[in-house]
Amino acid sequence: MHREPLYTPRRDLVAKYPTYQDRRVARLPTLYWSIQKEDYAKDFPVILTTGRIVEYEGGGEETRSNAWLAQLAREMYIEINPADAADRGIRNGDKVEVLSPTGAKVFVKAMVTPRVAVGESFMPFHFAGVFEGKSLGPKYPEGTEPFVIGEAANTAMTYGYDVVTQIQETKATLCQIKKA
Amino acid sequence: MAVMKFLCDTKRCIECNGCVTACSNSNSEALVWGIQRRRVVTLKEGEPGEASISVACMHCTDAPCMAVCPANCFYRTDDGIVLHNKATCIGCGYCFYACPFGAPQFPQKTSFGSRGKMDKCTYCAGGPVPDFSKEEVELYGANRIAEGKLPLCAEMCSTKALLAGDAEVISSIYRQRVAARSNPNVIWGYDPQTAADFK
Repeated sequence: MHREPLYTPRRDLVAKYPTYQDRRVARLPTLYWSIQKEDYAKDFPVILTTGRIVEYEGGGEETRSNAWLAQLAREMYIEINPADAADRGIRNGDKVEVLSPTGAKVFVKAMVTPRVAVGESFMPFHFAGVFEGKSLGPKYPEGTEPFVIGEAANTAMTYGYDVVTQIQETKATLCQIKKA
Repeated sequence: MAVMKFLCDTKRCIECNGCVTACSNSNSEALVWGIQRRRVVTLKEGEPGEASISVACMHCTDAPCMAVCPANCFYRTDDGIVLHNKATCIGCGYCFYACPFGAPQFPQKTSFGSRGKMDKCTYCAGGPVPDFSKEEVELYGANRIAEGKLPLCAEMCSTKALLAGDAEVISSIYRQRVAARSNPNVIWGYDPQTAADFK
């Protein structure tokens, strides 16, 4: 059965498909309704999801350390629909700030593309090595820094856990995008 | 005599960049980071009618690069493969202006903006130096043709979109595909359209 994500712009669907009450999963207190009952969509109107790009695998640490793959995808980005980009004065290739309802923000490049619908955005989850605009490159052991580092998409993903397996929410949240 | 060509079936290309990576793999000794002899170009990205095509040197029969080169560094092999001699290349860039596919690359950045020697797809056929010599590997990359193999990009293409081989053979493969798709109007991924179609 469908349950609406904790962070959603569809309050009508929250009424129809509410999430669980806050509960303990094993010994871990886990929040559900106390997050969903707040309407974050006014300040964070854009739906954000994450996914794969063809060049990298998983967290990307191995594939970003492979020169032949790393040269094909050198920068972390967020896909934004041209309409949303125009509202925010964002042009293709601009640096943008992606703000999450949790207070986290990531600094990435904008890819303005009709591939995502109006009101939606997408980030690839293969990047790491930059945290909220600050490079973690010097923290890698000598010689192990991948060719390409970037903001981790999951920094901007939000609270939320599966009720059975406690797998974290990485696919559906809200964000606001600003020109950086 | 065979005439070796590439043909990319845009109905099959899934923009996986496998050909680009295969090329980097095959010719790694001759390439520097960030230089790709082959690339995948996607048109109408995110819109209906999106199509991708893998492009490198097309080994033209009447090659414009060969026509404009002032140093005469291009030559055509018996298999119709267009190769060039890095020893005589002067890095003028005329071939880059002439090439309709953007195949010539200029990897070296030196002072006064001089380009350095041109580098392009060799159809995995090496260069004018002895086959399999250290010099050939370092300047031109692999010589799979001399091993009796096709270029690695086409060999590795997961959807068999990128075909390499004798023009007769690959065009008959492509013709069969078009016939099976029963959509003869679609060539290179496009429905031919005029401005009136967009109204």
